[in-house]
Amino acid sequence: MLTLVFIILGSFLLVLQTSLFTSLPGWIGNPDLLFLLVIFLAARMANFRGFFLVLILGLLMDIFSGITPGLFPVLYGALFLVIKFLSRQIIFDEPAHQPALAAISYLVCHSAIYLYLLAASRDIDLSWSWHDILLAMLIQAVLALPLFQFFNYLQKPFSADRDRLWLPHRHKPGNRFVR
Amino acid sequence: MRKRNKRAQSGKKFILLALVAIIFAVLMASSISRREFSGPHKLILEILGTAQAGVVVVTNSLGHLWSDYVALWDVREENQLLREEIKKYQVVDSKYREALATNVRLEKLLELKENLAPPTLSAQIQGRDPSLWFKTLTINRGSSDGVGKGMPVVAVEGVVGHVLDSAAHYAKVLQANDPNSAIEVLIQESRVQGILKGTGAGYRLHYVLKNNDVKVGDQVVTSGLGGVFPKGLPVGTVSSVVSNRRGMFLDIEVTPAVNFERLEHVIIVLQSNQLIE
Repeated sequence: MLTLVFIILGSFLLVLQTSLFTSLPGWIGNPDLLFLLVIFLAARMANFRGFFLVLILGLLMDIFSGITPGLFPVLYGALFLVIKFLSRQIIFDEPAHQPALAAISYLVCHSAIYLYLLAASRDIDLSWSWHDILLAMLIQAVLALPLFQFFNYLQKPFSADRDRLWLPHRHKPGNRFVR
Repeated sequence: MRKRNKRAQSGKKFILLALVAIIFAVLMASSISRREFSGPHKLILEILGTAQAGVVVVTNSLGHLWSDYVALWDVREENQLLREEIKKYQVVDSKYREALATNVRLEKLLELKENLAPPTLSAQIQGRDPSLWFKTLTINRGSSDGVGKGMPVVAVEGVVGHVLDSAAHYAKVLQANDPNSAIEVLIQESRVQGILKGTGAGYRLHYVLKNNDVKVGDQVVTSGLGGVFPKGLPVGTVSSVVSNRRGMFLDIEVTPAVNFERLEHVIIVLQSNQLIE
């Protein structure tokens, strides 16, 4: 059920960013909400389900963006594995880490696309614009916190321990000697 | 003594009353006979008339004040109604202007459609590529409308791109300014040929030899040689020409004829592309 919810959410975000957001003024940039969802899934979701989801979202992105089918599933899959690996060393649940994670992941992914395009075609006319990249990174960082909160909120009712959420909690005191 | 004084006083009063009655009777008799006011009549009328006028002014003022105050309630309501009506008319006006602008745009499209070799198909842009590196569009026409891979897509101003892929009712279009796009073009004035490549923002014209005469402001049109686009479609205007020391070719930048960000409607030329097939 959770997988379906995230696929529907991903589709909705993609439609939003390819239609409504493209008409926004240039200085606001073009927020990539689907990318934030991919990062959230990589940071929070279990290995197999998360990997499956990012591949599906990559396929969706392929339909609306780019000219090489398969580029985004590979990219998102690789990003998922890297974040999963890093999450053993760093706790990404900390709100302070999330904007940085979103911004750096965006930079890494778009650098990878840039290098791929340069490698794929020798005489391609592609210029790197730090202005556009930094603006997009800033937008991703700003949107990361509220969107991660929203995704988290959405995930909670479907999480494995959902039954416990409805049970009355017994608040234990900080001091273990106090009863 | 007291009785005598009383009788004298009452006699004087009687005489005074009789005199007033006589004067009154004379005045009445004279007025009736001449059918006009006498002097005292006029005097009294003047005095009472002024008083009446004062009263009338005050009552009228109060009356107006009251009626104006009461009327304000209606005016306020009326004002609100009028404001709402103005808003409605503003919306209608805005819709009218939008319809007019769309009409003008569609008229131009129709004109272009008639000029292009048939068959053609108009389409509306549904979405744009969110990525920084790619320039693609989604349109609301697909294979069920006869739209296929490689078909040229144009707008009133000029070349937009070509169909990259299509589903039953939607198609993906590669914009001409995408870095992966290349179009065979020629400069309208000098008939110099070259290959136009997208740079993301605009175009760069490649393989134009240095001995060719290319100026800023020259019009660039499709050459028709690539087999994708019909010949003579506007593509853009030369915005800079640089002749570097090294190399054989000029470094030419071209500003697109189409404003890709404001594009709403396009025309698909339903011609099969032999190269892609």
